[in-house]
Amino acid sequence: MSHLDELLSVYLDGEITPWESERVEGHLRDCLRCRRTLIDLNSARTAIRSLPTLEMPIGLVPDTQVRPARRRTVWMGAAAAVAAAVIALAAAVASSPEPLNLNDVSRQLGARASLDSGAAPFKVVLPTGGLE
Amino acid sequence: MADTPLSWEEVARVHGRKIYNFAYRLCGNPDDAADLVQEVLLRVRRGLSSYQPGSFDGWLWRITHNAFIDEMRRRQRRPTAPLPESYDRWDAQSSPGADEQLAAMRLGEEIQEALLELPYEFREAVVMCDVVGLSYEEIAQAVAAPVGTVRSRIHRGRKMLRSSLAQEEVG
Repeated sequence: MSHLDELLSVYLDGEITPWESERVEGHLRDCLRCRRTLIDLNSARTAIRSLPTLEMPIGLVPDTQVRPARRRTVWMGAAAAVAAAVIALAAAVASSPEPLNLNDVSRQLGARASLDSGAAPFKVVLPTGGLE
Repeated sequence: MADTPLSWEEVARVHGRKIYNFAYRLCGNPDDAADLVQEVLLRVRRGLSSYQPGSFDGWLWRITHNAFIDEMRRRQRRPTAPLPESYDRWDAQSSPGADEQLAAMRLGEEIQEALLELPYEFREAVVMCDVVGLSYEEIAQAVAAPVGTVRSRIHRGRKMLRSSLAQEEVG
């Protein structure tokens, strides 16, 4: 079985196409190794993102007002939520060689990262974890 | 970000903290980070008159990338200066207890040290993605590389970082 490798990082960042996402989730159902790799990658990603935001030394620039956070469209946030849900599921079964139950996966994903069908997702913006 | 050019003072106000955090995570010490911020702002000041409307973020991060590369070439050394004690400052909204705060600071130092062990191309891509919050496309534009290369650098950087942090845990 070939493994996903860098596609897992792309998946975590929500920079993935629907076709790639389908492929990743299908592969993760059956591949214990990739589920563990996903958890490791998420661990590194979370560690970097947990670093505190530093304030600039006084006088380095004319003024250091804090501005509103950068915004990103909701689909990026939704993709990240789906990835987070899959990681949680992967973590739950990482120690077991048993394949995942597809119905359980889709049900839990739907519960954790649902988008209202009547919403207009591309008009909604959410703040990202990035700096501004 | 609107395509309307800002004055360099506005660029400093709006983007300064972001550039400083990028520089600090890449260099690992406040002095080099401050030097890099000043160099970037100097280049912004010089370049604004010839700025062509387009992606301002792409333009700014391209300048930042070039300034960092030039500085690396000038020094011809890998920056490994240790973090000064208690330098990192936590968001005022969080108020963990003293023990938790100390543990978090130590962990932050370990992560910073692990970042500095990465090859600079990987470190830069990871920091742009996970610290600054740029998209793969924006990073590709900043470092003048294909998106596929950016994907690979971020992935390999995270794997190396994870391996390094795991060794710290064992040690």
